[in-house]
Amino acid sequence: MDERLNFTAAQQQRIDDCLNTLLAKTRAHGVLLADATGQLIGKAGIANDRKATALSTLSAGSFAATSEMAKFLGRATHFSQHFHEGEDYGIYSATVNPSLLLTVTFDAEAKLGLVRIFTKRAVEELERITAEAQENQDQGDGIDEMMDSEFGQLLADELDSLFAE
Amino acid sequence: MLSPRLDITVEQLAGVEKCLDNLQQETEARWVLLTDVTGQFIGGCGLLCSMNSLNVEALSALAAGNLATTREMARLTGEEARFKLLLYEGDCQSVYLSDVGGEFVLVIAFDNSVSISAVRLYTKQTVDRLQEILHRARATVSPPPVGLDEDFGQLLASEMEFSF
Amino acid sequence: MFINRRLRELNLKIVYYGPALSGKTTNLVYIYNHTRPELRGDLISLKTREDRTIFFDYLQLELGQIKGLKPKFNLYTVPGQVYYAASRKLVLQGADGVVFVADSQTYRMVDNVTSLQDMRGYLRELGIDPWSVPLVVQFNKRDLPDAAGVSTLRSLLRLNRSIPCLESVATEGAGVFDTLKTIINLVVSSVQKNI
Ligand SMILES: Nc1nc2c(ncn2[C@@H]2O[C@H](COP(=O)(O)OP(=O)(O)OP(=O)(O)O)[C@@H](O)[C@H]2O)c(=O)[nH]1
Ligand SMILES: [Mg+2]
Repeated sequence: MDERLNFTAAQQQRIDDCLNTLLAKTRAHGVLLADATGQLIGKAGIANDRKATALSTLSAGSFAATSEMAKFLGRATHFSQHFHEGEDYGIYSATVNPSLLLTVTFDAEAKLGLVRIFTKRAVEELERITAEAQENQDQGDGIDEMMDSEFGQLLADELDSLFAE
Repeated sequence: MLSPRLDITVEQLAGVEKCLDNLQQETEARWVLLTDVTGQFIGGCGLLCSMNSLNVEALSALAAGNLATTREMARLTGEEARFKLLLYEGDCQSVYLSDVGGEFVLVIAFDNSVSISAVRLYTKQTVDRLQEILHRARATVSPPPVGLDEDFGQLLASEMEFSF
Repeated sequence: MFINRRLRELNLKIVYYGPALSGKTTNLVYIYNHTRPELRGDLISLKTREDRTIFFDYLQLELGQIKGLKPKFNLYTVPGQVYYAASRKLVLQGADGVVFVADSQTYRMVDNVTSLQDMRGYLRELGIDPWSVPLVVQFNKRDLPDAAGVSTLRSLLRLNRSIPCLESVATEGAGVFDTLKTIINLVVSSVQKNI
């Protein structure tokens, strides 16, 4: 079965709120939540969609490479925090759950200490949300079933009528 | 044109390794590794010596890959400023990657009991020293290594026949 | 390329590039499974649960000394899915040679063409001349009924005669080592020319 998490509309809203709060509190440039395949789950402060997609695929690539590096280090190492420091900017990432990656990009205006603290809080909140999403996975909110049966049929009918002469 | 070529003399490599050794001892790091940005392993010391050399090269490829993604992320977020360092924090050990002149990556793995400010300080010194040595390595145009002549290709072809 | 004069090693980087699902990873897996263990490192695969490459696969091969020099080949694949464009370019950095793995199936022709064009664009951005970098094209999945003819593939991809093209069925290993040998020979002779 596909292990990808499905969030309900309410959960997705809480995720977006959480990312927006993080953005505001840290005065960061942008905040991004992606899964291990680089699929974008949520963002704040990054208006450009293509840019957000590129960033989330890159963060997933780096995440995969880091986990692989950890295997060579022994002691069951898991790098839960990544920090990149440039001359006057920074990128801070933390793992959520641990298959999601939360990334914060900021410049000299933000303080790393604050970024760390608020990211930690955001991670806790996001872990609560993903835990709930996992529990609710089986129950579903109806959308899945609708997509499966009826929706497929409706779509097919719709397409038929589109091409009908 | 081919990709930029790195060709290090025996003396330069000895200088690089001495730098890495010093850094490892000063910081009590588990190991230290130097790779170029394309992932080619250049030198290392510490626990690395007891590691399978092929794993060491894989580590280099991964470290360089990581640095490349981070640098690209910075570029996408509109930061033209130079990359400086990258830190991965785990539960009991951390890995620290530093940029060396935009062309090399210095990687240090250390236990979390070691002070990160000490690692920062000594790394900074090492980066400066390495930059000097490696800058010279780029500048010197060395003669082609003995052996890389016309029959090399021929011999390589037959070696492949035998190996694969 | 990196020459280590003390260890007397010649390190070269070869990248397997091509559209999604064309068989790049399958090439490396086959090479890994059919080379003597003492000649190869571990196969590192950064992939999703569905076995799709997310960043790269990496395999190192080393040959015995030749005239006192030990050649080492670092083989990489790129993630072919359109979505991973940003990562794809990074893997090409420092490539000494490229194997373009095309999917021979007729319905994949647009993907092949787009992928090849993108690759040349990325190489240019990285400061590598796409027309002089050693390139071998592999027409993969020759076993499938929908596979287009070789001359069709050549002309659609606009490959001039100087570019070696090989047919393959990577899942069975047909053409895999021939492709590898061809690119290695090209890369080495290009190194000799430029050194
Ligand atoms: N029939 C047939 N199938 C093949 C051949 N080569 C590869 N495949 C299959 O094609 C699928 C994709 O192969 P991969 O090697 O994972 O493709 P890839 O190019 O690495 O794909 P990405 O990582 O997404 O870029 C797998 O199911 C392979 O078994 C071939 O020559 N013939
Ligand atoms: Mg693949």
